[in-house]
Parts: sequence; C-alpha cells; structure tokens
Amino acid sequence: MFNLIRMYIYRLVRMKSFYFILIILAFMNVTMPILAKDPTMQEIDEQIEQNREGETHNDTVGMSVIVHSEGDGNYTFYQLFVAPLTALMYTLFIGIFTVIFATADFSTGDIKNFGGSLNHRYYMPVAKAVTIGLYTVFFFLFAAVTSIGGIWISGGKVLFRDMGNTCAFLGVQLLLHVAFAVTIMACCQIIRSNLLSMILTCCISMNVMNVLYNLISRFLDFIGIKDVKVYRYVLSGRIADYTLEKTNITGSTIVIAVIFITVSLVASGWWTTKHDLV
Amino acid sequence: MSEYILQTHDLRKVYGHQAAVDGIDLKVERGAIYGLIGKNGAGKTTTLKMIGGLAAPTSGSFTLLGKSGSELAEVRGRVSCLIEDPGLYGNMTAYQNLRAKCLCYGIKDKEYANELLVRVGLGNVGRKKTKNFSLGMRQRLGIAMAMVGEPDLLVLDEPINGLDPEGIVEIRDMLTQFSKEKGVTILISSHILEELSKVATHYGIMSKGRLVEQMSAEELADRCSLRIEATVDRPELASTVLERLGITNYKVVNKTDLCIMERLEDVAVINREFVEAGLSVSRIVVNNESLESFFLNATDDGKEG
Repeated sequence: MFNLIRMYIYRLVRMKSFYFILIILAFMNVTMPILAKDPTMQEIDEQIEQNREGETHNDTVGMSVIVHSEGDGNYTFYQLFVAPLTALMYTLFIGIFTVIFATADFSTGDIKNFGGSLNHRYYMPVAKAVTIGLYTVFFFLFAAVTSIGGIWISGGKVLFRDMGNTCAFLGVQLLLHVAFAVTIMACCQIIRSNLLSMILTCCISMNVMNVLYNLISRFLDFIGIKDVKVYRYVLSGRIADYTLEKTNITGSTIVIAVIFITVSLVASGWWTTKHDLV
Repeated sequence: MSEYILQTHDLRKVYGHQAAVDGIDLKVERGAIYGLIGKNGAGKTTTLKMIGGLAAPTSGSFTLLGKSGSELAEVRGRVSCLIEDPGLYGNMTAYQNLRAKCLCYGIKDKEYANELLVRVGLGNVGRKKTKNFSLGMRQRLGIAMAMVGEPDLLVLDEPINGLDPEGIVEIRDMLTQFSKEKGVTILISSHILEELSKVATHYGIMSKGRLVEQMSAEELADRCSLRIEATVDRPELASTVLERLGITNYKVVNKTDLCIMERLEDVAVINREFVEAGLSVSRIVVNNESLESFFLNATDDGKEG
C-alpha cells in the first residue's frame, strides 16, 4: 500500500488542477486584505451589514465569507482562518480537487494499468484517502502562508494571539476537512461519475444540502423524534459551527469526523473489492 | 510446478441476461505465447479482464500460477495487462506515466522507465505529453507499462492495433524476445491473424462467449495444411464414395464443399470415382486453408466447443 501512496502522490503533484486551485487560493488570500481597504468595498460591506441587522435568522444557501479584523488592516491569526473555514470556502476548494483527483484514474483508464495487480483492492481507496489527507494538510499550510503574506503585502499585521487555542481549533478543522475529503473520495469511488461527485461537493459546500437536512429534521420531528438537527451531525454543519467560542463541542466534533472517515473507508473499500474495476 | 500457468474452469461472466463469457476452459502453458482469436463480441476482452483481475467471474474459477480462490491475491502482482486502449494521463509525459506505475510496483530505479521506453521505441519522445501522442505511440507506451515489473503473465488485448507495419514487426520481435529471455508467458488477443501466427505458439478460438478450439501452432499448421478441396452437387454421396475408398480423414464443409486431408496424391482417382458414381464435380483441387478461412469455419454459427 505504501507504494500505491507514493504513486498517488507522484500523480497528485503533476496535476494541473493541483496548481490552479492553489493559485486561485493565493490570489484570493493576497487580494482580500488589499480590497478590504478599498473605500468602495467598505461601502458594500457596510450595506450588507445594515441589510442583515433587521433579519431575525439567517439561512444561508450559497457562500458568504466575511473576515473580521482588529482594525487598521490588522488581523489575528484566528481571524484569517475562521471566516473562510466556517463559510466552507476552503471546503469547496478541497472538495473540487478531491473529485478531480479521485476520479482521474477511472476517467483516464489508468485503473486498468494497476488495478488488477493489487493484492487487495481496498488498498486503493485507503491509499487515496491518505494522499488526499496529505493534500488537505498542505492546503491548510499554504492557506496560512498566503494569508499571512497577503496581510503583509497590504501593510497590515498578523497578531499571533492565543495560539494554543487557535492551533487546537485549526487541528479540529483540519480533521473535519480531511474527513470531508475522504468522504467525497469515497463517493467518487462508489459513484464513479465526476459530474455527480462534483455536484454533490458543490451542494454540500454551498449549503444547498441544508435544505435536505432541514427536511429530514422536520420529518423526524413529525414522527416524534424531537430536537434532532441533522445539520449538527454532518461534516459541513460541524465545519460551519465549530469556532473558538464553541470548544465545548470539540469531543463530539472529533467523534463525528472519525465516524465519517471510518464509514467512508469501509464503504469504499467494500465497494471497490466487490465490483468490477472496468 | 504445473506445466500450465493459467487454467480456467467453466469460467462465466454474465452482464444482465447476456453471457459474455459462457463457460470456458482455457489452458495456457508456461512460457507460451497464447493467441486468443475471435470476432468482435466473442468474449475475448471480457475473458482477459477476468484473468487480469479487473473483473470478477460470475461463476467458475481459474488457477493462476498454481493459486486459486482467495490465494489468488498472492500472485496478482505477477500478472500485468494491457486491456483495450492504454489508460494514460494526457498531461504527463511518457516517462512520467511509466514512472508512476514503477512506483506502484516499488521500482525506485529512475533509469528503469527510460530503458523500457527505449525497448518499445519511445526513447526519443522527450517531454511530449501523451495527449499529443499518435495511436501507435500510445499503444507502445501501453505495452511498456504492461512490462513494468517483468510479470510472469502478460495479458495483452489487441496490442498491435494502430501500429504501422514497421511498428508491428518491432512489437512482435520484442514480445518474442521478452518471452524467450525472461520466460514470460504472454496471452494475446488479436484480429490480425497473420501477425498472430508469426508469434503465437498456441491458439484459442472464441465464438459467442465459448472456447471453440484450443490447439498448438503445430496443430494449426497441420489443420491448415494441404488438402483436396472438392465442390460437388451431393456431398452425402461423395461421403459414401470416400468411405468406399477407405478415406476417413475428410470434412463436409457445407452443402457443396468437401475437404479431404489424406491421399492427396490420388486426387485424379478420387475425381474419377466421384464422376463414375454420378456426381457432378464442378471443382477439385489440391490447396491449403488460409488462416482466415480456418478461423471463419471454426467460428461458424453451427460450431460449438
């Protein structure tokens, strides 16, 4: 299996999409602080805030990334991350790349070159999961570097306050994102359609699936199972919900992430073993 | 050690209600170059997919390198295949595609991939991306990828498709040399019978999912050897005449044609006996059967293994 992981990593770093997504991420992280200082953008932000003041609740379908600052172009390290993470922006990027990566060997036919020679077919989804997990870690590191670089370029400062708790927060978010990537990988392995997998990824990341979660919650409520909010038990819900202010749910969040990883690996391993590769 | 590297036992593959492979008993000797012949849709590719580990049989089993059932996992790494078109990453070069597979097999030597590229005639492609390769170049690279790790059994599905005549000769010589030097057993399917006949040591003919015949190259040569071909109006009467002459090695091909495989020197005698028996003989000649003709006869609708 280690050889398989090496092959996947070799392939990963030679994919165009690997660099495209990082370039887009870097561009956004570098330009965001510069645009934040633009008077026109500040007017727009103030208008958005005013529109929200009268609302009693927010049901977001789509994506809204609002980064709060300490003023004067200064941000804490936590502030740089919490907005794009909880808005599922990084989730979307990671999900898109995961779909492209995980379906490539089927769509190109490369699976024929090595799939039949594997001693155990379940090595394949496990090796992919490890690879995509490593990519997620790299993505986080890259996001941190480019975010800090963007602040520096705009003339602001990054304040490294409360780093212990911030790192713990990032660790849990990283685990959630790895779980998300592994789950998407498993879906790709089972569905074997990059179109459907991409649609699923976008629906989850853009909160469209919240509609479904709400429906299920209401159905459960209807049949007498009260106070079960499905949104709280799925990865996108936890990613959006988990902040420094909610560290009381750290334990359950980690458990949910581990459950998703385990179920995804078992399901995709079983499916890959039992079904024809071509 | 068994003389057979591969044996299938009533191997079947059913898709929906259609049996793509309908109970075949294949036997491939160690070191052989086994040619699998059949029309489109005969079940060759499906058979090769099952042997190559890409598809599971619906029923039946096979013994590979002495292992079967759950023990097959131990020897899967010693089988390599090229099924249909080679699966390549278009944005990677030939070297990179090959190197990826080398890593999968635990081959760390970076020069190994270059040596394989030279062997298949792709030593000078440089940094050209495979999406810009011609069909022949893609096939060569696919063969190179199948050779990674020097497998004990190489499964090739129509590997010379798209190659020019020079390329076909090169690949043919390379496969023969590979088989001789490394003792690799090759299971190869092709439509180009003339080319297959120059490399194959054994043949299996498939038709409608079944294995119609298996034979060695020597047996095929005998079957396609010289014979008397006769066209008469009543083959059943001709059969009686031949039996009376003590000739038993003959075949009634269709409603008018016969093939007589013995006593070729007595063609004049046979002709006279036919005429004296009242038969109308429109043609009688000493001839040999072409491979195509042999194949077409073997895969006729009325023939089953």
